[in-house]
Amino acid sequence: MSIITVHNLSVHYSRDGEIIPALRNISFEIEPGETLAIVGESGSGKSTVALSLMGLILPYEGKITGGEIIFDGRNLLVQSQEQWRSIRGKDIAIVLQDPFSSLNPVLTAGEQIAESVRHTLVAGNDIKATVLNALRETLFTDTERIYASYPHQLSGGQRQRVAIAMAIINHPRILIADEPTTALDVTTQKEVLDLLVRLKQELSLTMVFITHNLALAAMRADRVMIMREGTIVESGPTAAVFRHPHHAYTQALVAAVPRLKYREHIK
Amino acid sequence: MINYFFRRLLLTIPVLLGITLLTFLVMHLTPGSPADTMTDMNLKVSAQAKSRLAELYGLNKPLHVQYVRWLGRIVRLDFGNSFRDERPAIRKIAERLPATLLLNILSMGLILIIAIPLGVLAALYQKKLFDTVATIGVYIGFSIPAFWLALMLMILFGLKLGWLPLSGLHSINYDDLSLPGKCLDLARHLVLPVFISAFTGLAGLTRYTRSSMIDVLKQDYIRMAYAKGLPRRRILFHHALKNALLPVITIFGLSLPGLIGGGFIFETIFAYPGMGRLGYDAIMARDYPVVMAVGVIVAFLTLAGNLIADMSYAIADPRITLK
Repeated sequence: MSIITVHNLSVHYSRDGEIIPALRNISFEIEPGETLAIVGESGSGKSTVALSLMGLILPYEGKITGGEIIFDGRNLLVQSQEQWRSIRGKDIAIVLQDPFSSLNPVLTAGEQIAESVRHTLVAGNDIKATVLNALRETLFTDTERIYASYPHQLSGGQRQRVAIAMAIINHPRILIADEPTTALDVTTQKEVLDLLVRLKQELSLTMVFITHNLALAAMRADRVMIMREGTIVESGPTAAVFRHPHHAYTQALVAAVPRLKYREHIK
Repeated sequence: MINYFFRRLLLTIPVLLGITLLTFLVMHLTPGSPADTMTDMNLKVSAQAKSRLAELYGLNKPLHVQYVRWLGRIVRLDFGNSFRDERPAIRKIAERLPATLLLNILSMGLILIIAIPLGVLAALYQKKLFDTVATIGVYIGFSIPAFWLALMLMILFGLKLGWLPLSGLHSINYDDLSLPGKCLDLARHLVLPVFISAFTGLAGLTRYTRSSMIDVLKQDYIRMAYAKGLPRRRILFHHALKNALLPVITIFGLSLPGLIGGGFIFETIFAYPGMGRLGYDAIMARDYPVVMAVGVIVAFLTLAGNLIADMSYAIADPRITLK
């Protein structure tokens, strides 16, 4: 039984009055507890999938023009804003690509994380303690300092870990990570990836991992879904797709992955 | 912060010196001296009397001597006496400044109260009917000459309907009125000037708030706020508005000089006893002490205003540290 079923989803963006199709009738399922990697180049529609799952395609950008997203037996696309709000951040959470723009510059990290819990906690629970705990879960040691820091006082990796703390604090069922490491430098990338993998295990999350890096996907995902120009080109268990890519585009992608291991063998 | 404040204060000294020098030079290089304006139209005044007058005011001394003397006095806040009525220039300003401040603070307050919500709503209903109507409204205010609108409204409310007084700040019987009566009288005199200067000054701040808000609403942290399941109200006012108002503080700081200087045409039409008219009358009469005092005090208060704007910016935006 899948946790989310997407059926014939179509999304259009509008830019200067021009309609640009972003997703064309895509259907897929996410199984509970799995890590699904959505792989594609920029403009392939992979981030649009992430935003659609959270109802976050804002009216000025575009709109979902068709299809359904079934979660917990109901179609998310026909629900009210109030119902969306009850899911966002609690059942489905997201980490965005660029931690330099996804945190509000005029609010402290602590305040921004606390906001995620405020409306879910019963009165009497100590919000700050919960926030500090989430910061510990995202591997901060000086949690009090981070709590009181403004985003500009933190490094890229620290900001992304704050964003992750914000996403996992309510122990959501699904965590969407939309290119969570693209904006970071290489050493920080590994740190953040390892953290996500560890949190997925500890909190038994279902994870949707969006990336343009096939190698990254291969190492961490149970299944991959290759996207191109708003359609799903190929999908299946990671190992199978890697060994026997059917589609020409997937073959090209697999061929483009640098094979460090081979070079090591040659040496 | 305090350190920064004092360094900024020190930096204003050369600026102030420059302002005094410019004010002084412009005034003294203008053709026609106060001795001329007092004597030329009067055939009975002899050339000797005229030179005695010049000597009395020190106008026959070289310019740099006059400047240094004047500077030496203004640091002790002695701006000299008016050439016209021998009253201290500083006292004449003290009489006029409150009226100008009252008018401009009221209209500025009105602008803030109207422009910010208007700009925010226009941003939220971007390219919808509300936005269009608001945009047209503020541009009408921006395009209409204030003096024309003033005359039209004076005709309507003052003459045709007789609801409001036409000019000045007080009625003739002001001194006989009770305290509430005085307040009401003052309010009735202020309605038209405050409304007109607010209406004609609405455009800038409204448009600025609108574009700033539109810009902020497209930021990732707004999307992130939605992703946290926050109510829309909190996203708009806590996350968006806080950021959107930062540039507005700067615009507000830039409008402070107008707050103190007062508008000449505007004050003249309403026979409003403010700084604008004082300055104009003094220029026309070559009343050097008053002109220079007005110039220096307006410049000083403007610098103070800019400093306050900078400080509030630093308080509002945690990214700015003052060192």
